[in-house]
Amino acid sequence: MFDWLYSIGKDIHFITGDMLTHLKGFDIRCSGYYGTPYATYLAISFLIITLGGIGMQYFAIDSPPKRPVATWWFVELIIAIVNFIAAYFVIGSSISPGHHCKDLMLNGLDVIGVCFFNVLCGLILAMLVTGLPWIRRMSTNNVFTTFYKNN
Amino acid sequence: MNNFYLRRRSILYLPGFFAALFFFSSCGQNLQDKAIELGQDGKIKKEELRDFINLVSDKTDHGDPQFYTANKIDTNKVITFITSTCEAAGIRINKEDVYSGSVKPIPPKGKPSFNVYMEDSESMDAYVNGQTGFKDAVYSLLGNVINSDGAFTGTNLYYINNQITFRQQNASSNTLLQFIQNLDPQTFRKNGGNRSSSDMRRLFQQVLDSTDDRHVNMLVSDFVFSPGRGQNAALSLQQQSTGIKISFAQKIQHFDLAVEVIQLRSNVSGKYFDENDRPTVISGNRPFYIWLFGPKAEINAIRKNGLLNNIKGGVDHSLVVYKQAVPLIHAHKLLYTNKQGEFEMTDGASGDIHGAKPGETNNIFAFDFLVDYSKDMEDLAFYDDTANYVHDHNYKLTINRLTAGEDPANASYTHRLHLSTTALDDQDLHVYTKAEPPRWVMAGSSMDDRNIRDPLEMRKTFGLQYLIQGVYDAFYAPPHQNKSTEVQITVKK
Repeated sequence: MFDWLYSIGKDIHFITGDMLTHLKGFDIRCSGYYGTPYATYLAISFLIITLGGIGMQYFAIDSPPKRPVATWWFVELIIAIVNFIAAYFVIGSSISPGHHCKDLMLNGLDVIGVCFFNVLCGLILAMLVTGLPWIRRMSTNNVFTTFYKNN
Repeated sequence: MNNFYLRRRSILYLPGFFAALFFFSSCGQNLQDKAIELGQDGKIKKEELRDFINLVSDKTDHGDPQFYTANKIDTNKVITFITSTCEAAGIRINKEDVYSGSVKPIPPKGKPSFNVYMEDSESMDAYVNGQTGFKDAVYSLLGNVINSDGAFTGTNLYYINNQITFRQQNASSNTLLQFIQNLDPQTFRKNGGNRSSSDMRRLFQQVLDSTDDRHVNMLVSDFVFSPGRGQNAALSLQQQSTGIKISFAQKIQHFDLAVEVIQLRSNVSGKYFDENDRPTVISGNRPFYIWLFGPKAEINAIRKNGLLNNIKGGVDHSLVVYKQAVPLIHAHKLLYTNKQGEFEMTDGASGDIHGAKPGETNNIFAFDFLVDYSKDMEDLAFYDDTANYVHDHNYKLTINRLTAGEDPANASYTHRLHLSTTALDDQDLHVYTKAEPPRWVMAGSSMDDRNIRDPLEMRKTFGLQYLIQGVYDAFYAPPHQNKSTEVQITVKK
């Protein structure tokens, strides 16, 4: 479902070709995409974490007493860290022997690359979501506040 | 509820939606994890296998060669997927532990009889004169047949030249021993018939006429063509070849025929008749041949159960030909190991190559793929030799046979083929195996046997090449174009 997203990760050199194949669910027999669809799990994890984090931020700013808008960056840092940890949790153990196609050359750096890509995706998602006026209008105090503009 | 709370709650809908998405995507289990889960308890029951087959049907494209044969789910392939996935994950599970009742057993057919036709023309006297390797080989082979655990209903023995001159039906082990002990020039002479010439076409015709589902026939001869006194054999070789082609072609029009030829050697002592029918007394080792004729399934079973492998004195060479409408397409499994450059398997390992790029430093694009030749009739050694393959000229082919104990995920394949090129382009790659007489036929064939005492000539058979070529021409006429198997891989940049 989200293979296309991680193909972009490969194009911008966050993700290697072998890791992309692994994320798509190449099975341990190296015969086809019958294995765990890590790309889907990773994408859904950053979507939930990022949207959940922003949702809570909206909730916090909307709730009296008003929180200072400076917490935006702090919340984003937390979202990024949680995204990284979640991605590592999803993909980290899968590169150990016996858990992936052994023809794919995978190592710890590849995992770190995927985790950073998920962080990047989370940040971009946050920028997009908070930039959309119709979403901002759902809040009382954030109508003029976005990820990149604090009013 | 005021507008403020309504808005706030709306914000929380989005992550809730994705959480639900995550939950449902987790529920849809992938084939690999399901196979491992099934294998955990060491046995797979009927219901579990049925559920897994349903999952395969849901999760894969209909026609995926991993699971489908002729657009129908192949239970054997599904079971292989489960067992090999479990093995790759370190879980031991045998195919016997997987319910296989849904696989329809093949109804047992009536067993055929095994018929031995011993050619007894004059040139064969040298092979049965005294204690020879010829007698030992025939006796050991027939011993294998009689002890083949009921594979045949009975063994019948015949002497043959231009006609059948002797017959012994339902030979027991005692009659067999007697038959071998009586193999000598005097017995051959006593049985009569026309022993002065060897018309191979006629010989084949007689044996082919009696070959059917109920009769597996074996013809033993030196297969030296000899038209008889006053005639030059060399001039008639092409006619013999064409005649043999016609005989075999007529037979395979309505019968699923397979023929196996094995070359053996024996000490000989006696007269050899050259192309001008001039006799020369010879003593030494000469080749002789055993031809097996029968239904494809029977000949394949004989080959696979090793009936011909432990003949006393050993087999020098062998070949097999069989009826087949077109080159048999074989599935492949692409590998990421040993690749040069980059590519993707968008359709899985049995699919095509996408996004092919050559290596940046050497401009070479190369990849490995596996093929299973175990179900074909030729010996696996045939597939080891690149000389037996035809492929696209811009690629170089190397081959390795997989050994036991390699990666269990590749256990169902026999050969690893490696293709490399410096001229990468969008292309449909074809790797064929040749259906041509093997090199030993040409090397062991003579066109002039007048100096038969020459040690090199002693190892050859006059006109063998024409005889074998006639058979190949019958079996592998167009659209075969002399190809027996095919692997096709599309490469896209």
